[in-house]
Amino acid sequence: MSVNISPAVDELEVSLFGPGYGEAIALHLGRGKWVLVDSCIDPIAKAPATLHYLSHLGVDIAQAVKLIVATHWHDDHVRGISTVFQKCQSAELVISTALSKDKFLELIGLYHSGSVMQSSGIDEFVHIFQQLDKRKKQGVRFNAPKFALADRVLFREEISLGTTTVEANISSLSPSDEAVLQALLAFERLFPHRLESKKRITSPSPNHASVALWCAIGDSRILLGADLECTSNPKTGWSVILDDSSVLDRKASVFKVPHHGSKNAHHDGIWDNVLIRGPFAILTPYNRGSTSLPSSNDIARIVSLTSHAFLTAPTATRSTKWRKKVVRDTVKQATKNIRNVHQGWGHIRLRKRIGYPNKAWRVELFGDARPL
Amino acid sequence: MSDAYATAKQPLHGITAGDLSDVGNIVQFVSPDTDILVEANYDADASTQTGINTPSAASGTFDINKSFIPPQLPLPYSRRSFSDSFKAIQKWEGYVIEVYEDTFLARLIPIVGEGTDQNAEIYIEEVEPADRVLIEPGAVFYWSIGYLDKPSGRHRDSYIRFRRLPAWSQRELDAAKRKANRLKELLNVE
Repeated sequence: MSVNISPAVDELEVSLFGPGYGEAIALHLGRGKWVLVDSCIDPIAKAPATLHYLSHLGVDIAQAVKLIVATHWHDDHVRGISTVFQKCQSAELVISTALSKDKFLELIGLYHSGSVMQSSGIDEFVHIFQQLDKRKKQGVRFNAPKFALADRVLFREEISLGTTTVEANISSLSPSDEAVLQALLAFERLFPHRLESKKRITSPSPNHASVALWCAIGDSRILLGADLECTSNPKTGWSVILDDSSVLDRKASVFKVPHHGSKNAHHDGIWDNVLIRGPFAILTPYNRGSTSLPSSNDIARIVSLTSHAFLTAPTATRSTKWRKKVVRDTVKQATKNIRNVHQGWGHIRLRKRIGYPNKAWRVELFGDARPL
Repeated sequence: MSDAYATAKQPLHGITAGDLSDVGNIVQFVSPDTDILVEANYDADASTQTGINTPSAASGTFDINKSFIPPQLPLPYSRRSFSDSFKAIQKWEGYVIEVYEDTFLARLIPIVGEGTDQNAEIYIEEVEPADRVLIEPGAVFYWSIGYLDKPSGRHRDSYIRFRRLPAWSQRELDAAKRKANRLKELLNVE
């Protein structure tokens, strides 16, 4: 089992990367065409995980990547995505419709100087828009981004696999119109008032603007849940998708579990009506203070629904073992708890021949990835 | 309100060598005319005269951020005097994620020392009283652990100092709206 072996021309691939805080997906549609969803940094290569992986496969990144999707703007989903956009010169960019609205763009305008503290998700969008501006001025490789909204087709292409041709369709299932409205209200609350002290921008929750994707390649269906959650408003989140979506044409066999397996992002209707029985469920952990996702209850719930569930890295339990006693003693005294943000680094790879509906997905686990 | 604007290249009071090393290239000082805390970028490599009148500060220039500084922010209590020397063994830049009753959750990014990014729930009592009003989501701080050399001997020391960032000005908010309009043109959105 080598990570460096490319998928065959007629092989579908879903690769999920996750270090404990961050998530990225590489999707092979067939015949060397790739879609990249979100971005996180490979802690060893210190480069965007998807780019590092594709370069190991020998992929011509500038030509082979057709679509880049930023499902939302939170740090853990967009780290390095401006570099991904810069390198993938043939790719179209997809962002949530909510991120094309005045209030988000004003936040971009406000934080574009990076004067507060680097590494917020806003910075990545600042860099993307700077590149877009440069491309437009130079008149080369400029494509305005596409904006994801419920039931919108983002990518459609006939892919020739020698004797047969398959259709690849990628559609956004969210955000709904109501979710966009809620996201704008959240952005409004983030916008500072005059004389308010500057601070680092925070990430509000729930994330109404998140883009869930429905990938239909030949006879295979893949549901990538991003960080979409359920809310009390039935016109947002997973409820409105179940009620209104018209693109869910058959059941999916692969599910990127939303929002790191949290209870808030679980909807029985998705498991009952949108997924096959016992699908391949893949997810990344999220470590934040004393709470980590997925929790033991989340894990119990997911494994009760499928025996094919995989996590890219363990959830947080460890802190650095400080070598210097003065540091060790002081940290122990000053903190109630302290944990490493990144507990490991893993990569889950699923592959399957296109056009063979009865063939199972082949699972490969690299690094710290593990069965749930 | 004009009193609250600092003037560049003026004599600066209240900086100690410890302060300079605490916060990298950002320093805080008291504007001599107004007693208002100001934050500035410090360039220690610059060759021009500094205007610093403290005996232990290094030479350099200050590029003063002229933004309005909220006058209600209290000045931090300093435990160090000019003759003290603090050596940081471990230092993080951090930001507050959430605030609880007696602790706050923060992301810590190491600047000096060992380790990787940490999520830490830090006791509020570890923060100097004058800085506690600044603890809110998004607030940026520095946490240093090390030794303080005093005439009386070497002592362990740990201190958490919150950055007193300038306030958003109307000019900045208006500029953000203009920038947003340009971005809308770029993105071809109405």
